[in-house]
Amino acid sequence: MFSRLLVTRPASRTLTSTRPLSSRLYSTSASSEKSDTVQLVSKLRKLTNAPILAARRALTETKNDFDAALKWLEKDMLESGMKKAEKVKDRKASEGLVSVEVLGGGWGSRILPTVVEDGGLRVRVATGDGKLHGVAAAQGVKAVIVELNCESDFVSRTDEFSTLAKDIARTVAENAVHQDPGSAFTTLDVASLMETPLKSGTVHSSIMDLIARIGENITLSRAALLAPAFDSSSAYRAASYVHRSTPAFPSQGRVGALALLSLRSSNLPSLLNDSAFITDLEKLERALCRQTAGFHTRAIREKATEEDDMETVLYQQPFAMLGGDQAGLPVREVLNEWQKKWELEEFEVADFARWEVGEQAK
Amino acid sequence: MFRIAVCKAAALPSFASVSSAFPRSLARPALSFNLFTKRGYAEVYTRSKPHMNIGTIGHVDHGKTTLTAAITRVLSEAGGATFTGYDQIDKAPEEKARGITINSAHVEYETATRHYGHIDCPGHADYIKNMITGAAQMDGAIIVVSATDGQMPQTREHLLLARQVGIKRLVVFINKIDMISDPEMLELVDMEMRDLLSTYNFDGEHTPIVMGSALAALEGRNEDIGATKIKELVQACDDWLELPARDLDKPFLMPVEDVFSISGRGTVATGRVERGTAVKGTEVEILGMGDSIKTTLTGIEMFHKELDRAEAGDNMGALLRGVKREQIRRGQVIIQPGSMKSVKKFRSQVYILTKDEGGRYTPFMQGYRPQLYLRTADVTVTLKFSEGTPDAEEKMAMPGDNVELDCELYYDLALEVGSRFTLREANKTIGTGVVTKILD
Repeated sequence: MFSRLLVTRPASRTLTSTRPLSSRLYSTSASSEKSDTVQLVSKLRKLTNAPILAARRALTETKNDFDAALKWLEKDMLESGMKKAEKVKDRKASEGLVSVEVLGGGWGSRILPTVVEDGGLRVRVATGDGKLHGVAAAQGVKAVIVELNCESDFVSRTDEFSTLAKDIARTVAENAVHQDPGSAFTTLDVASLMETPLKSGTVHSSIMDLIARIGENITLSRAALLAPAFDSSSAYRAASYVHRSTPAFPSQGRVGALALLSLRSSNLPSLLNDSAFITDLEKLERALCRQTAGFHTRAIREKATEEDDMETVLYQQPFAMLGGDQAGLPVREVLNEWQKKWELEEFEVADFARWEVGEQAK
Repeated sequence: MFRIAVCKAAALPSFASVSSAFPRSLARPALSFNLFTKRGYAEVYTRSKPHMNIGTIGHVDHGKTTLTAAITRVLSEAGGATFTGYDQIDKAPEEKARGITINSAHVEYETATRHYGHIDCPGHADYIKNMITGAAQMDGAIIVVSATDGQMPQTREHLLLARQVGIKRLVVFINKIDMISDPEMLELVDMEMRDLLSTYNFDGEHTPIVMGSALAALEGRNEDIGATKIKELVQACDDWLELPARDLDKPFLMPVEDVFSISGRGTVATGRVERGTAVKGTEVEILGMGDSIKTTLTGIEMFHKELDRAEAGDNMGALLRGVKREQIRRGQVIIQPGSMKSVKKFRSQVYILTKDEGGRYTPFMQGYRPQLYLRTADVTVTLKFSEGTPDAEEKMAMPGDNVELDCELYYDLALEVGSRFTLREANKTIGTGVVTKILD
């Protein structure tokens, strides 16, 4: 394919005028040998997205041994990524994605964590039958929200970046240990998250690798774990919504809301098996998370600070996300009605996180 | 009685107006200018070169700002530009256009045959916002790729943006070629770019790809890869990028602002001609809001003077044969018959203004019904997420979002792809949009 290009493309015309070196292009023996290299570089790039220069060097270093070049490149991506990262570290990275991973959805959830021998949580997602499993009565809420930044939204729209944001949230959720028994959300130390395993390396090496391919400053700016302490009096559930996500990456977007819901009722065991209830509950939770994300929500019951707008308080906001005849009523009123309808003693948004890309950079 | 203010829009002197200058002598202060251009516009009347908006799109480190600066430097030598330094372009100031904050740097320059407005394309969302609001536009683009990296994952997003905003032709500049000692690697960059262009439905085979060093051109060294290549690039833009149709060359359209009944003469509709030209005696169609009427333009008046011809930019009064005052109203348009359709449903790309921009504080769901303002029309519209949006009933649009919406108007309006409108609610502009597809 490439040789055809050499013959037919007038593009080489632009080369001949540039420097004497290019005369070598037309020496036949060198040309065929070099064309092999070109094809290998092309193949390498298709597989790795490595910069042209890096791919070329990989082949020189390994004397055109493709497999060895691939290995060489893998290693080099980490090193050149680190070099590049050092160079771009002061550049503003305020674009990117908020990424949410719910490993354990909690009581009645279709997303089921099970306790394994080492005491850590492993995820098991119910298969498509939609049946709810008794195991879910265990607390099992475990979710993570992270923000991964880059410099331009062109980069944040790529599959490569979205995949990294998704993978990081996932591995952090799988590996995070609950640190703060006093609160449902724990802010995780980003620096120590860097050593969390990811693919064949770590979060850090994966970020370096993408920096090498993409050439922008990429930083994990924050992460928080949602894992409420066990409480025998309430049932907990996790719910989330991510705004401006794409169908391929439904939990990665510009604004993320992750909420902890608590329910109390003597009736819980029978409600657990009432699919009408669970469906209604899930619908309400999704609406609550959209509400939290859609408004500039900063608190649940009272203003977070004196200067805040009343509309930053979730329970005071007009509920815009449920539609029907309750549209526009204050959120808490709608929750009261809903609580009454299902004869619950309590239904609360116990805690939440609402993160917007770049808000920390402002 | 016939109180119509006439003001010729600025920046409209053009070839087409030359021929019409004669009978309009009293109405147009620009007359002498026009006659002058008739003698030899090529040398003396450079503003009459056709205008085109282009932009540079590329990775942050691939040198698009350097390239923009280099173009102004090289063209300034021939007097076609004012040299604009890297810093002036790089620090894109936030400006307010129609109350909406946009972020882009503008430079302009001229080649032998064209006048270019050039933007350094900001981010994807920023550009879409610029395009929707009409604040900045690209009719064509230069994709900048560094030879050291080749195309990158985000290059696909650059091409997708160009596609999304309707750019049909691109020119590629492969930058930093002085950092590559192996010419075959340059061939590879070229080949990969052509493949990628074809993948995204651009003409990969024929798209001009120019290789050079923007920095060399900017620093005035290595002319063979510097200035020469910049000239080659600009020539490629002149040759390959297609000029958008000028307002004057489009079919006649005048939105109706007001309607008068003048005894002894008939019904007169007033408005500012949006595009095209019309002469006395032309067949016209009155379109929108239910009735469509075909009639004849029996008179054109400006400044209480009767004229034979009206063109884009003119505020005119249109005397219409056999039309009663109550048959025509504000919000309709007078057009060249058949050049537009009146529709109720269309797809659009809409930017939702933030609270800081005077818009909503809160998100909205599908089924929201604001007022839609298009030209002089004002109609209630029902908004839905575009057909096929997953979970549309549960989707929301937040202030600051660019969203694709299907709009259903309460009354039909004359519109077409590219028509711009605003959405208002309770005296607040909450969104601004552009029609992308007619649905029926």
